[in-house]
Amino acid sequence: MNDLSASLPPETGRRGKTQPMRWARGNGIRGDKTIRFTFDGRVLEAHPGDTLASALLANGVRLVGRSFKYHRPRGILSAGPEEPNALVELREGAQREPNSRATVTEVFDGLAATSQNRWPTLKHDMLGANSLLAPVFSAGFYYKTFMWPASFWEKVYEPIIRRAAGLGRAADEADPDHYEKATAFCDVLVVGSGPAGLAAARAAAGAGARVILCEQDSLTGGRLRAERVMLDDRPGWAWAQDTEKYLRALPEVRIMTRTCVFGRYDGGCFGALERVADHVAVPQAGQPRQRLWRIVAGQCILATGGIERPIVFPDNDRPGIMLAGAVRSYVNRFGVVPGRQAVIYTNNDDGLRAAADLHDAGVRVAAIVDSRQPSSTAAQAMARQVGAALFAGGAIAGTTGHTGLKAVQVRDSAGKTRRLACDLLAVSGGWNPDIALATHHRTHPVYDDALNAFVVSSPAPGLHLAGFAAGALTTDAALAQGDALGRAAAQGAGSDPATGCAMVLPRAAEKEGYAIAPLWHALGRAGQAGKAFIDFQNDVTAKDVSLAAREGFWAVEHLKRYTTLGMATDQGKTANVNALAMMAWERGRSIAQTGTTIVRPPVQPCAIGALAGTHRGRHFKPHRLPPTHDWAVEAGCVLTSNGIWQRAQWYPRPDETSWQETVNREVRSVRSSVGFCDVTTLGKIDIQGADAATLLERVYVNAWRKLPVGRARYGLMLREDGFAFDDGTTARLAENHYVMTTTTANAGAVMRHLEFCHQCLWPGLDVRFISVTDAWAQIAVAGPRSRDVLREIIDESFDLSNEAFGYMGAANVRLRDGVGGRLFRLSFSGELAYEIAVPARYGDALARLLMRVGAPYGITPYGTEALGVMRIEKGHPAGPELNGQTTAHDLGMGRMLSRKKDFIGRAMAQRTALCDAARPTLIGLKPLHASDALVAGAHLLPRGAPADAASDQGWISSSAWSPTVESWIALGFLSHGPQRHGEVIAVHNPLAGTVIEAQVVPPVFVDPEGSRLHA
Amino acid sequence: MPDILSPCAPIAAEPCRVGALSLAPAPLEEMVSISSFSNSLPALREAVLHALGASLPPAPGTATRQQGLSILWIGPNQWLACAPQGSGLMEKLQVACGAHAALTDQTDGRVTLTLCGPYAHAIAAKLVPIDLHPRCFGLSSVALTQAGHIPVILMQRDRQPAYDFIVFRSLARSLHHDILAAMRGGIPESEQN
Amino acid sequence: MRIHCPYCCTRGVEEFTYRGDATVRRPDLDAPEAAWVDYVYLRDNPAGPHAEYWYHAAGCHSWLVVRRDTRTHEIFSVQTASEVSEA
Repeated sequence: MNDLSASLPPETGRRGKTQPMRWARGNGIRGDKTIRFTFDGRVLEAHPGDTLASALLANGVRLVGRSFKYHRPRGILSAGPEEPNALVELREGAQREPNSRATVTEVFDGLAATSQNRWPTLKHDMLGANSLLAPVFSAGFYYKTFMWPASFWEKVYEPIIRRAAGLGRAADEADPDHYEKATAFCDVLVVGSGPAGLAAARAAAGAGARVILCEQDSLTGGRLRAERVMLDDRPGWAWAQDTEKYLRALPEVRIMTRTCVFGRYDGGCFGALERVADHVAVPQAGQPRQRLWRIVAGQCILATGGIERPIVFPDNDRPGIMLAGAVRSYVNRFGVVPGRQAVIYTNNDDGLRAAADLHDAGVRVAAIVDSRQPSSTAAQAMARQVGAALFAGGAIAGTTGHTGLKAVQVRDSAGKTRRLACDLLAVSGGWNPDIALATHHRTHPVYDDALNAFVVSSPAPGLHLAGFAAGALTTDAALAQGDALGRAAAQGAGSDPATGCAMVLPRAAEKEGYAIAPLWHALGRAGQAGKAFIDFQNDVTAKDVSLAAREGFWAVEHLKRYTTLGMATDQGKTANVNALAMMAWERGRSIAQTGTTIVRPPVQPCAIGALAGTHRGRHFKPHRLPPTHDWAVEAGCVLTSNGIWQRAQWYPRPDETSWQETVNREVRSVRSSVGFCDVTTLGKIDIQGADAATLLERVYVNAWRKLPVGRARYGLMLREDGFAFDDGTTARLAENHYVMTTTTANAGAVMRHLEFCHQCLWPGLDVRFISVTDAWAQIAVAGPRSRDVLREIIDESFDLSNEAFGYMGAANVRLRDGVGGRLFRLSFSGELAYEIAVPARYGDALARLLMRVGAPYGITPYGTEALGVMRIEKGHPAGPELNGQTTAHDLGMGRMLSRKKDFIGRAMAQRTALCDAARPTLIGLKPLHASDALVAGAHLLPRGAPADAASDQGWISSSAWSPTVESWIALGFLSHGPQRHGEVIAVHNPLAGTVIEAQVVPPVFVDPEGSRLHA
Repeated sequence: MPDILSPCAPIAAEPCRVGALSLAPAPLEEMVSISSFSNSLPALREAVLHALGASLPPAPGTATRQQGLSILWIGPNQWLACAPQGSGLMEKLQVACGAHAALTDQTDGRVTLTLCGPYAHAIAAKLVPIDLHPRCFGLSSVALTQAGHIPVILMQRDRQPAYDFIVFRSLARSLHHDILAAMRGGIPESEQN
Repeated sequence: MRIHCPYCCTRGVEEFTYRGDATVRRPDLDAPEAAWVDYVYLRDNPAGPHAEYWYHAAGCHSWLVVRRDTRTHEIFSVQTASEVSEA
């Protein structure tokens, strides 16, 4: 052992006890202010501007979590969103959020963070013994182990695996935070605010474009904050700050920090997530925690930079092993040194910069292990500059230190291994351009041999890559490229090329070098000894990739599924390329030949709550409220959803003990005296024009031309395939003026259908439609005393007698106080009944008036349930009968089909099979024992037949207890139904396993002659 | 003495305020939809101008507004005329252009919710997925779109800015809730550069 | 996807309702059954340019004929259906 193996230098405590590793101020830190947070209950100090990762490092905390499968102690690998290891739980209770990356979590006063996937404590994790089970956790372990006996899987193996392997715990309660969505538009969207992004935004804005600049970080500047680049003799981060300030002052530029553009979609749409209040203890009242943006952009410049690759070597996952670029970020931006004695391991010149930055921060750099042979002149110069030993052509063969790095084994080019004490190993395996957004939408990346990385060579139209994302290796190149593309994008989005003036670009003091030499499998098979991790988050090792190759899962998509490589929160950002290279090596092929998987949105995790926005709980969908809603609620109704309409289901009285009792009373009241029900929800379409009747003829199966003014008629619509679509009544108000009603459920679909018929099929027809559903409060007043009640309301001059205003009459009327309305003599209940329509603003008052003037008759408001019972008693088809599978013939309306005209569905309705008498046809059913409940969905079988599909002859569509008949009754469809009235059949309910005997009857249970209707 | 039916609005008239932003239902207006019959457009334009002293807006996505009267484009060959209560709008239109267009009373079918105050456009951008930049959507611009899941006719009433959300009456309360939630969510920081 | 409505300008796809093939023509009533089956049921499923009906449900209620590439969602043209029918 030589002198380099000397023990670590003692703590020097530069800035007092609390943040021993804070060496300087850092360009992104407000060092004048101290805040407190806790990690696993320990109170620690930090400064505004810190991430949880930088704050933990400042306090000398290196062990942050335990790994997914093996519970290996893990620290902080990166300084950005690609972090695979440092996942923690944030906050507590309902706001607990697992799997949060410490590297992008901003520390605030009072933040509570806890480590996860450990028991009982992070340092003494009992499940660390999982490492001993490593053979069963190898690639494909899900598929290979625990397969037998099958019954053990759910009860034994899975719970054990779930406890042992895993990440954080989700909150058990509903998320109490708010989320919202917003849309933004721009000519040019710039993603990323490093040198390329800032230059692009500045140039695009200068050329007259509306610009949105999105930065996922809390500060702009990108790598300018992580490096010590000097631009025009000033620190690069200062130029970034000035440029941001300049851009903010421009009216057409919008800078969105803490906003991650997570997806690229077609039509120039991007998804972005803004972390509005994640960096504060409690959002202000009403303020969302996160805001989901849809950004619509004419052109987009991706200046997303790059992600550094780790190097695969044995035990490369110990806390204290960190990406070299991340080391620089902690040193320069956060003023934190992640260790006191460092070794650098790199295959490129960029990694060397960590040596200089650490050295200047007072960290001893013991050695530079440069895999290149010969090493670059830059490496030699750096080793001299920082006083480090240089191992050209060297490799790291192993590491020690259980909960934190203590030493590395360096193998020199001659193959000799020696131990070097260090608590920080900065590694750089080169950089991958961050091209995730460019590859959304099935753009395939290609491998660039010079850059040793995947790039996008032909981005989608309107998309441009700038800076390192496009392979630009120097700050000057990034600035120039961003500037040129910013101008080009502005022109591409329609800006005048003459607009704007050229701006002077700053120049970097030095030209950064890269000089990468590939390093994918430095030690060959030997490098797979111990655990050489490729995917830290999923604990996938080099051995797992080799195993997958041997077992035939060598295609990239198979490799991913077989080993779980590239899954979970980091999606393999630091792992994928190393794994592909390893697979290529195993197969003796090039990386280009091996290929890569493509990625889907989101590029960073996105909370489901943010995708839902404000549409959750009761506001998941909007509610439509009928005009009598407030009155009905006051009257104590129970509400039900009818589509998005909220309707009164029934109106219980205090003495009633069940809804059935309530509904029975409501039905009896209507049948014996009078009741009323808000039917505003039925679709109402105003139809006008010289060809209005022609259109009705074409959309309804029956005839309309001869319908007199002042009359209404029932109509049935088919779809073009001959099956029933919708029904309702349409009234003729004037020569060329009709008002159509539709079912509540189909109101929108019928409007769309009418518009289709008019615009696509018969554009020559002179007819106009508009919805008037909301304009009128329409109330059904039904029962033998309904006329008496209406006499109290309608102006005396209007003759309500049966002779003057008979069944299916329609008229404009005036109420006694002068309000104008419409009166229809329509009946869904089969009783003498009217529907009265008044302008919606009077609906509430009309309900109250009906209660008052109807009191002497015992008027009863009724809800949708009683409405349903009465329509079943009368055999009126509704939703369950018009289910899209029934024809006019099935509904017993075959004879309505006009033979004198063309109408939608006529040709197809005539098909032999659709007119077959054997088709199940509408019938009524009554159980032999009145109290035997009939259930919708039950199957109809011949009496005594086995309950199997071969005997199935139909089904029940609607059923109810009829207080009028005092029996259960049902509507259903039965093969040869109309010929079988009187027959007793079996009703089989396979869910309950019951068979009930019932008699087939005509589908009208009450007043079959219709004398009540016409009274 | 007959019972008098008193009108009832779905949204209380009292404005809801969040900071300097306010949301309130506009006073009830007479509203009539005008839908031109085939080959009647020139005659209709003339008749409307004659009857109301205002023209149908010349282009889609616009409105003409003068002295309390507004005429909004609401579809191809279709407009929505709005006038204060008591204007007798329907009667005037019927006399002048009953032969040229389908006229339908929409007074009760729609409710107007007005959002106004500084950065009202930033609140509206949380609701409607259309570009509200003054170059695209200025004073008296009209768009038929959806606020969240709710269909609306949107009009910029004032440069202040103030927006009218004209919504089906039955959906007014849901929309009111959604706009208020957007107001409480605050003005995005990036709007306030 | 974003569709350029001839009346309302470009809007998000969520404002539109899809119907399908806009190249089919409704046969006469007395056309052979095969023609009707073709009209009602049989559809090509081209990977590439296609003409489709879209309805601007949340906007101006216009039925549109949108010509687009089903593989890329690139839209070549948008016309109103009535204009296409009358042509």
